[in-house]
Amino acid sequence: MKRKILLQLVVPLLSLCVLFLLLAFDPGQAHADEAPLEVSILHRESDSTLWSAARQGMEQAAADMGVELRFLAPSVSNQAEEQENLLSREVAGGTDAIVLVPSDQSLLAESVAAASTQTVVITMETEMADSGAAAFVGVDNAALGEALGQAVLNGVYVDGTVLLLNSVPGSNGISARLEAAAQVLEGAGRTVRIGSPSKALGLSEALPSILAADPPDAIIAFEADALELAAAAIQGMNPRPLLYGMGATDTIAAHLEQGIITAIAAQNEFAAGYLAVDAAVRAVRREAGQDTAPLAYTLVRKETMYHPDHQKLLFPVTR
Amino acid sequence: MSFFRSLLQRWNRLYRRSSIQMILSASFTAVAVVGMVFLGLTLFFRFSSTTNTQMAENSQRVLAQVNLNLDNYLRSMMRVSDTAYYRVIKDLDLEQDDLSRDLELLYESNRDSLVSIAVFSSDGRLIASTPLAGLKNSVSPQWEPWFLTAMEKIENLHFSTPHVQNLFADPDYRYRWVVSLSRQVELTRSGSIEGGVLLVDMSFGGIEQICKDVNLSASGGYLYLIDGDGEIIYHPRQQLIYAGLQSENNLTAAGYRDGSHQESFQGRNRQVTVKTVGYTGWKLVGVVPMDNMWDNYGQLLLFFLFVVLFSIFLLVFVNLRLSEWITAPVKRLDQAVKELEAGQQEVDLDVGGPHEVEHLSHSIRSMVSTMRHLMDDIIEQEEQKRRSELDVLQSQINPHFLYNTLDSVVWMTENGRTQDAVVMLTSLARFFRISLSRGNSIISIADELDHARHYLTIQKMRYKNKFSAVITADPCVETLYTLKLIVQPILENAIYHGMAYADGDGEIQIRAFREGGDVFIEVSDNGPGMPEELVARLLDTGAPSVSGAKGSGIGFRNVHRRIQLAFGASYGLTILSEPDAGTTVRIHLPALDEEAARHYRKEGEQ
Repeated sequence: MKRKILLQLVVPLLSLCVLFLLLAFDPGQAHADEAPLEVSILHRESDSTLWSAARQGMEQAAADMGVELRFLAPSVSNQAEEQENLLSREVAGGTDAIVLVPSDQSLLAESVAAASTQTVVITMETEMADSGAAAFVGVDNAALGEALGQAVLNGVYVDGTVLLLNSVPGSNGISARLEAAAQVLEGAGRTVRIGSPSKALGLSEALPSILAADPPDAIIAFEADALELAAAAIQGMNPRPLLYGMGATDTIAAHLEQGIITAIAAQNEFAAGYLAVDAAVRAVRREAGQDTAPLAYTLVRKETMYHPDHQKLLFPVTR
Repeated sequence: MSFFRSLLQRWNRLYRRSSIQMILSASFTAVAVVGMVFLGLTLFFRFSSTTNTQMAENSQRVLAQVNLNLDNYLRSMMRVSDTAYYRVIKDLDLEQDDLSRDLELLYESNRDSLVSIAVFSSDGRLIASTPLAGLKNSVSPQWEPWFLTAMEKIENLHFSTPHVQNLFADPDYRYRWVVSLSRQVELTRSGSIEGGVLLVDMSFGGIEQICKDVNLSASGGYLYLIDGDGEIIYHPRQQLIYAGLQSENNLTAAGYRDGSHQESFQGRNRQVTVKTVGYTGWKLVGVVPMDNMWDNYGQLLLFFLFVVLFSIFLLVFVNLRLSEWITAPVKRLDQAVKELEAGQQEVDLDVGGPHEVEHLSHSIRSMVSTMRHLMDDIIEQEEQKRRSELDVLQSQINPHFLYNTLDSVVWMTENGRTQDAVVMLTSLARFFRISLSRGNSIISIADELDHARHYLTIQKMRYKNKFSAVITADPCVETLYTLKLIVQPILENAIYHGMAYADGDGEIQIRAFREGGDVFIEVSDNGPGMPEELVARLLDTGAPSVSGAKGSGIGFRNVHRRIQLAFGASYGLTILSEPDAGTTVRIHLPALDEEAARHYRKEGEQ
């Protein structure tokens, strides 16, 4: 009789109590209330205005996914050593993921490899999968370089000189773009000259002398900062070289509209920032879809910059 | 079809194997659960329907409020345009007056909502603008959509789709998204009227302030604003849509009438509520994802499930107990019947319970009682039958002997042998007195031997002393008791078959002795004896009567049967006989003392 009562009453009652407790304490809600992920954003640029659209995308992703972002930038742009230190510090601080825009993949390889063993590293602009980075968010750098090279071919005669600005020395996505563009231009009979900042002089200081020494027929800048500097540098030149480049800041748009910049290749910076944080979160949570296809880029000229799609690309709705 | 037949058979087998309690319990539970589930689903669907309706009504209410605010905002922008036109442009002559100062004042008083105010001539020349004064070299206002629309429909105010303001040279290189409000205006120059276009660029900020933070539902609802063609003016995730990371069903929504609609977008069901913003033709679209709503109701569903499970558990338990209580009398009755079947005499059939079971148990009790009475009657009848048979067997003795003896007395009297006749009659009288024994069937062995002795006296006289007889008995045996008249038939057979042909040398010996609990009376003669087959047939009740010169063995069988009827099959006669070696008949009886004899006597009398 006791066993019968146990089976009939006690066991089901206990089961129901467990179910009720599960409902009462709401494990699903407990999961939702867990501590937010911490993601560190480590850019190579010290001037954050150059990547404000990407930052807005990151912040939007952080809001959507419950992530806390910590934005970090070196005191001087493109300093691999400082980036290395910041990277080590963030890893030691126990961050859940790091979105890195590396200034030099060779110099940072070891640090990224070490960091990848302890946290998730996502790279932007420069792919570092070989060093253990979980994902890469950015355009196909070689294809972008080729596209810019092809764009220049229309404006520069054979044997004309094209100055390629190697604004971020070292091995990185910028150099990959440059190499691809140089290959296209040289293959098409144009003379390619590489302009790099020296250790003593930054690009802004070095550029006037580079331009004055041998004025090129066209210039290609492969990132926004260099493009803005080049646009400022050629404003007073006569004849003014054609200027092509990568980037989509308001200053670049204004120079494009003024005709100082001939054409730009623009990626959706907002999307890049959003996708970088999204990939980081997916990697931390071990969800599928961490791998991101190369982002699209669009060649925009003065005539087409107010096309509705290009407006959305160049001018993020940042109310 | 065969499947259903098989199912039915399986169900029938299960039904037959199940107890009443289980069937009752399962039936109660099934009916209750079906009812509960039906009621639950009805309530649930009703709740769901009501929730949907309330959600739609809530969305419509919120949209109506937002629409009111947006309409007020747009009307305020239109008032700015009206003010610029009717209070500034119409009152001034361009040749003499400068519009810029008044426009600037107007701009300053509404600068939170405005990006710029500008007046253009009909050929697109800038006449006045604020806050920026210079046009970009590259722009041609006369080809801009807002300009063309204003010039085309001169009576109306026109709201453009959102676009980047690209007219004025901004030293800070700022590009801002605006919605342009344009209208055709009449400009006065040197007293003459000429056409122009007034442009008021509204910032997104004002629209965003109205539309953002609108809470349509707790399940992630949101609101967006589109123009008549479906182009997004405001969306809480506008930049994600522009970046191609998200999409919206805005083009379809542009075709919806005002009210609530259900749609499926990207595999998700949504409730979409549309409200057209008066003058502009814009549409406010409220979206409430139904999936999210159900996610939020997940807890409710789980709680509902818990309640159902708990109720089922209680039902099962209560029904088990209830059916146990209801079927307990039936089970007790069933157990009592099983005990009856097992032969138990004292069975409690008073099982209690409801009227029907009570009636059933009473009927069974009555039936059992009747059955027992009937059985007693049958036993009584059997006993009476046995007694009757015994009496019949006993009564078969007397007539033969009586006639023969009386014949002998008559013969002796006629021949003057009076003394012999007296002796014979005296023995006969004694013989019959013992035969009657006051109706007792059990008499003492002394009387039985005395009865045999008188019989022999009579027979010896009849047979002229052809034989002699000796009766001996152990002293203790004569005080014991026996069934009466069991020796005489044996003697009768011995005389008729053994002594009838003797020539004075016939001998009959009667010996009574005791062995343990048994008494034996042996009747031996030195007659011709019998073959083995005849001996076997003498006591076989199923065999035909033995034919002979006198008698047919009925006397043997009567005595044998009487003894077995009275004392059991282990008692009776044993015949030892060989041809020419005489015959010994052994009567086997229980040793009955007076007490035991009284018991048998009572039993016999019953």
